[in-house]
Amino acid sequence: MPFPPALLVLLGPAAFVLAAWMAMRDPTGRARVPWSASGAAGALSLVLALGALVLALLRGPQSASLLAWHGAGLSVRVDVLSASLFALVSFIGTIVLRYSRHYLDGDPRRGLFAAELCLTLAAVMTLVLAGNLALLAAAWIATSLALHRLLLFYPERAAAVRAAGRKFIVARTGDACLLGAFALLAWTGRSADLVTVLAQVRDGAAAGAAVPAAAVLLVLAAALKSAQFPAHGWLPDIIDTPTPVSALLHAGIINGGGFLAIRFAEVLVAVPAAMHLLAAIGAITAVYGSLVMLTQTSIKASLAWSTIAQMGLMLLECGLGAFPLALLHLLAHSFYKAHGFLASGTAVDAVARRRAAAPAAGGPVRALGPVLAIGLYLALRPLMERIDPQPAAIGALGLLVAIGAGLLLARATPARQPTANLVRGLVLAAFAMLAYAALHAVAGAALAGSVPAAPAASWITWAILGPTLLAFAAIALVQLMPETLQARRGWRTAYVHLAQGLYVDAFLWHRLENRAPTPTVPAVEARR
Amino acid sequence: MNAVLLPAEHDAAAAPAAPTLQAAVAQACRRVAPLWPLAHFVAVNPFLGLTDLPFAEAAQRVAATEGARVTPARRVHAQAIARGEITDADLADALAQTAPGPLRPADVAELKHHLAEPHEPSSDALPTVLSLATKVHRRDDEALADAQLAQWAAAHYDQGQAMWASPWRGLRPYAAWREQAQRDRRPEAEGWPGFRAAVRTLPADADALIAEAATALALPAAGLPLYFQRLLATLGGWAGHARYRDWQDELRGDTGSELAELLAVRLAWELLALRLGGGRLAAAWAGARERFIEHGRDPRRQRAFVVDEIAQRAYEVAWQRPLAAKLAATGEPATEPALRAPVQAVFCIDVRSEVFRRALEGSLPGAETLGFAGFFGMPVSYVPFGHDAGRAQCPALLAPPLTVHEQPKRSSDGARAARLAQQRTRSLRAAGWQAFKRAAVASFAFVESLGLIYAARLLLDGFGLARHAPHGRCRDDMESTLPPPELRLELATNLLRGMSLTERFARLVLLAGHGASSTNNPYASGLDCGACGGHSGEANARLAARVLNDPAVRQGLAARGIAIPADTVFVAGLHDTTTDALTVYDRDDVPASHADDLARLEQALAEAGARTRTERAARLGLDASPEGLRALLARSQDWSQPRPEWGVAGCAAFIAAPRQATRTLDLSGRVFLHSYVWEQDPEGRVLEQIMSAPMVVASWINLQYYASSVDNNAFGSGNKTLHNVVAGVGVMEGAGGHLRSGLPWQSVSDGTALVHEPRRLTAVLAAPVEAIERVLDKQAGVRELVEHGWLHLFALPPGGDGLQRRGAGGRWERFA
Repeated sequence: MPFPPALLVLLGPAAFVLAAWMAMRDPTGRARVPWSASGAAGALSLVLALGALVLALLRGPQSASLLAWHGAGLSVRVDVLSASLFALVSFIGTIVLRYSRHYLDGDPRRGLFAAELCLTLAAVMTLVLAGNLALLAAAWIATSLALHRLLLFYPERAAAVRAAGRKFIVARTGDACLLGAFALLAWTGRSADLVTVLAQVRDGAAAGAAVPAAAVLLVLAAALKSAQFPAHGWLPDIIDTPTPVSALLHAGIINGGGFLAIRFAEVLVAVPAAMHLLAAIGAITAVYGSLVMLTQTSIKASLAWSTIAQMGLMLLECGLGAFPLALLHLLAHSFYKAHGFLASGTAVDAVARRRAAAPAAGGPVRALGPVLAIGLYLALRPLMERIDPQPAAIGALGLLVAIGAGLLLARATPARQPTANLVRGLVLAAFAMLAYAALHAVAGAALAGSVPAAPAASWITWAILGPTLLAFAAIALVQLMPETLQARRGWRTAYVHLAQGLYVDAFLWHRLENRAPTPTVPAVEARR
Repeated sequence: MNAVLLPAEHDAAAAPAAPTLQAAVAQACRRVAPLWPLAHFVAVNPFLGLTDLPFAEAAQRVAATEGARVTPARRVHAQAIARGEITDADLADALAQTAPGPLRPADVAELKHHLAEPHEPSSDALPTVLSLATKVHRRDDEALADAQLAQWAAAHYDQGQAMWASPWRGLRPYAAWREQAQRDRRPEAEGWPGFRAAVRTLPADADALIAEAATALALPAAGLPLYFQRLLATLGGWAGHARYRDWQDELRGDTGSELAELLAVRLAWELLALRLGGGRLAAAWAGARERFIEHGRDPRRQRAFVVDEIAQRAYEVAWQRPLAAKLAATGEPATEPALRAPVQAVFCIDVRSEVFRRALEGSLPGAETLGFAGFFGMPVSYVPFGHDAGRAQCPALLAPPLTVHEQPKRSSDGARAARLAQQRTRSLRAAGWQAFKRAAVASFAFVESLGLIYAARLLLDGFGLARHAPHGRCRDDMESTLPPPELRLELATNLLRGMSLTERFARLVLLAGHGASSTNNPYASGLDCGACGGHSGEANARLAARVLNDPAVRQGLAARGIAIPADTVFVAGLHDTTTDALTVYDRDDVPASHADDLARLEQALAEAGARTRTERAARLGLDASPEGLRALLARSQDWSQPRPEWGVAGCAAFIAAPRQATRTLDLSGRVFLHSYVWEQDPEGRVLEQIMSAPMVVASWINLQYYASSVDNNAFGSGNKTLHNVVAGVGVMEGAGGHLRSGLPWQSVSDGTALVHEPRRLTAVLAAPVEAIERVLDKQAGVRELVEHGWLHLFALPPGGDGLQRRGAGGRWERFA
């Protein structure tokens, strides 16, 4: 039997395991070779991932297995989803490793840090490439455990220990959901092989309660992985860890929920209730996360709340059946957020710049931007639909771009000469709208065949989507007229509750945890 | 609950009189050192409010209020003794310098005996109601209060990080806190029932609250200042931030009450904890109160701190000996050579200038270099073009009396207006882009439409392909307005006299400010010029050069006896301390006759930069190979670099003397060099100015580094890899906690060893001891610094008696 080329992708995680082993042998991280090795592992993975992407685009999805027992074993699934996420993780991993080399310079355990990063990357890569349920579940759990070690890189920090403990409980609950779902699917499909199981679900071969139960469990596992309401609280707390870990977590690991939803789209689509549940959880989290994010005064907390909201939107999209859009979101958000964390040291300059900037438009002129943005959106809508034809419910999400353009134009409009930035602003807005449609169309074409078509929208879909879009518009309004709204009594009280995240973490954890005083030993003291 | 309903009955006790209370609050607030925001961070002596106390006494007080140490752990000194770095002679010398008394060990043997005992000041922290509540309730009440206070303070002082700002920012801190706290349900969710109702019963005004709390807490008046100081210490950097705001008010001649308000907020928590806490807590507090009275009375505790100081002094003496030997080797400051130097170059007194000056003297034979505070006597508020507010480009001790505005060079009113409009439009465009990118909901759309461009940005930043312009630098095509003509002569006279440059002017005189270039670094401004208020110094240098080139000013100077030759030209430059590139500004203004001089100077500057980089590479752990030097330069552009350069780390001495006294010495970038020629200053006015301003500032910087390396947890800002910029003013470590003050651990340590070894400043003044004593008589603050052991004062008197030390009891003695 010829060696299937798709199996070559496993060299990526293997290379990272090797790099981790080399890094572990030099705990201080002073030697050059382990760093070069991890760089080489990143480059190799990226090349393999791009090759796999080309293969998947040209020849369609591929499966290959090395060892198999009832479909379980060492097998890979190479399609646009896994290849693009493999490429993403390789790229983010390479950047984060390069960053860590200088960033942790002087830390006596820098080499161990790199080793743990490499192991985490290998686990995530295996997760996205896995071709069967057993390997996927093992990699899912391994990712979380490897990350746990990184979160406790400074074990003397009480806040980090507490946050990692909370995350541990949430993650293990998610693992239980995932294992339950996989057990049901493997039992129904009489195989652990991904393709076999998904095909059986698609063909409707499995009857009974197993598939619906599996779908709901998958939704819960995805929500717990991606820090969805109300199990989101660990994410803002976990920034008590070196910046590169946050970058990797927010760009490569937190989106595991989205990956799971897209990977098992066939299962979810077969169970409308699961889709509605996913959409509802995502919608609530997106609105909630956005509002709380507005009140955050520290850069990393505001990035973390932004991630919660963005993950909510991504899962909402999955719940609507817009899987290509969710994949596009997942990829772009990873780049955006990784950069956000790694560049978080610029926040001092950014605040100074914002303070120095001239005031934007006030009074009635302020309405000009949003009105023009909506006008532009309506004018471009036919063209966007021609580029990217979509069912109404998914098309309605395009309104978000109009809202974004509205805020852009409102902030860029000078108070005195309102027309000064108008042309450039409108060109940028038009470009963003068309780019949105075009990228969505490309993602749709690339994923065609590997994810099911979006199901028809039911009244429940609209009942979720309608209020969500209204809430989004309201949040935009809050940002446009802060001083008018803030003066109101109700809004002032709302500010206090939102700044506290509506106390969800207190209700959830206070009774669970014994708030016994823990001595705090500063990281630098403990190791002197 | 009765306690909540009947506060008055519960709190019935003798109330301290209002003036006593006010005095106690004021005294506690003065103990807190101000913390400058990171946008213009300047080094501050963290013990600024304690210099009225002798060093050991202050150390004991710091232990009581912060649980912090002021000298290194005893094992550090024990190791230095074991290695022979501190000799018995050093210990004996340090012992002899300590005032005799029952606390002083009798001899070196007894001293060593004491040093062998452990001394851990961290357990000395006095109790608060909250810290007792944590113990009594077996639940972390203190952590809850800290988290709540930190979150509220961040929202109240936010400079624009949150997009939805606190609605009560316009109120005074206590009133704002009260509004917020009576709506916040978190304390109740975490086990403090009745919290909001209890907040509503608190007085609306901060003074009333302080009075009510003092009555309820029933602390004897004598213990109040210490108790208040203890409470302020629990607020970390937020207390420093409030003190900074008060400091700004005081510079303008007002008195601020920001910190007193913050104290009221913290006192409110104590009061609430007591009222909601129950009988066991009240009893615990009643038992603990006395400790605030008894502080400092136990001689055994006192001795521990005295012993610590003696060991620290010995450690410093051990370092001073080789310095004294070096200074003695150069002998008596020679008289000035008669020849006219081709170039004179004036640098900031910053220790980084020492390396560059030595390199420049090597690369341009005959060149003279001088040292002066890098704002070049131009205390201005500099308003960048298109900005409404100016930035204070002057030492932190001053409020800038002058305002200058930046504008395009040689421009008409119309051109200026057009450029201004253009700039405003551009900054609004950037604001719109930022809103699209970051704002809630808009950022959803941004990610899905344009988010992929961040892949390219990650690539550019991750592989160091993007160029980042250093923040806040002036453009060469812009210039500032000049001070009013009548002031220019005054500024020029003070500047030239201040740096003892009143004769023998070279054809070309370079005034070099300095600034650093780093990227993605919250502490970027901390590497800039402190004398320019945490900004890069080119604006001041350019202004000074233009003032000194002004023909009217030259005429006035001549009338005052400072004759600047007609062919002397002043030029301004900027020394980039991260890359050691020295850029000359306004080259177009240099007359053609001096083009060759400038070309020679620039060539020598480039060569000096290369030499400086080679020397600095070793300290950064790089070799001097082309590859190592490339790595050094790359640090200024590396977004992942926690140590773009070492800054002022290692600073240990301040020398005010003619350059002849130090010219042949390699001082390894550890010494602040101020030019001073005693013979030109018969009345000692310049000496007084040097001792009361640059020397004090050098001591601030020195003690900032000192404290950050001795106890980084209390006085430093911790681990840079965890830093999280908050409220636009500072950092916290990780997800929560108070604002951090001081310097990051990475700024004083390379991970294996301290790069800044903690030594109090050794100040050497080339002046007769009588002149120095006259200044000490006039400047009480400086005298305190010297006599309480915050710096070591030495004289290098003209006439060659060698180095003299001002020892115990104000006696001057020969030091060798």
